[in-house]
Amino acid sequence: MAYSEKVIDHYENPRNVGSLDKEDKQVGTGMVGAPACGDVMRLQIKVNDDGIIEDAKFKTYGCGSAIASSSLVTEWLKGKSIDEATQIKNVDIVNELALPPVKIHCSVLAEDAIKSAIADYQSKHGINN
Amino acid sequence: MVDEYAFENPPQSPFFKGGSFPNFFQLFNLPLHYAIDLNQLADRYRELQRQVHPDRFVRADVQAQERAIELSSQANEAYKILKNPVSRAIHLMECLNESIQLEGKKLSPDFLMKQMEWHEKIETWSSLNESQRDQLRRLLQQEGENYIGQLTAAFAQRPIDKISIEKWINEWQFIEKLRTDLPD
Repeated sequence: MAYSEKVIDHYENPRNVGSLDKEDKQVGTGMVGAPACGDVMRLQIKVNDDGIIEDAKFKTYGCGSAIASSSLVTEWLKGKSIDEATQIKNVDIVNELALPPVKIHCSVLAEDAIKSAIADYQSKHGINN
Repeated sequence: MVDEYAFENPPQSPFFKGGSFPNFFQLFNLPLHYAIDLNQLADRYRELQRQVHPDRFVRADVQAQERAIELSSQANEAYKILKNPVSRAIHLMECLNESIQLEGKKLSPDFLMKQMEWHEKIETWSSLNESQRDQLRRLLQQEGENYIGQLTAAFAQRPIDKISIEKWINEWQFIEKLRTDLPD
């Protein structure tokens, strides 16, 4: 199976790798994993007082598609509001990275990571979904 | 060993009936049981491979030859699945007609955080000395053995503890991945 140019680019030059302080009230941390392949993904967002995601970081242990998917979403998340962030769907990631059917679960993982990070941020602010 | 925990095998093996679903326990004449004797499994595997060895079928008709080859490759597959404690648990659930969710399952953040830490530790492998590497190997080994114990206990309950089994199988796959990620 050949990876697309975009996947290779994100894999070789991942954007926004790292971590944010998970105790920070402005930070939401999402942790997800895929048992079938053992992939683990951590996605963090930092939301400013205007409700805009001003920073996003990730760390993923997994295949190239999982790394590319999480790298891509950190780029997309920056500058978005929480509402806009929830609009990011796995199909957008699939289309952007030209992921083959066997790698669709990687994009699902990235979408779950966004949801999980937002849920964590919201729970810190007394919002329960 | 008394098999008080063994499940009842279905009366007829779909395997030999050409059915689509093989029961690998039955193929090796083993009780439908999570805690299997690995030596016995290896013996039965070798015995089956002897029986279906192509050399024994040189004078047989084409159909019998093909059937022998098919059985031989199925025996390989079956042996691989039963030998591995994770795939054995998954297969046993299939044999018991119990469905488990292996994808899209929600895992606890604490568990995932721990996986991250394992990976981070493994990432520093090249800077670890031999005793630190040994320790890491041992810890992961222990972790795997914990899961064997948990699964054995969950399968020994009547009715079986399906929720725990699903959880242990899902978690254990991460540990297996970590162990295969360990450099030699």
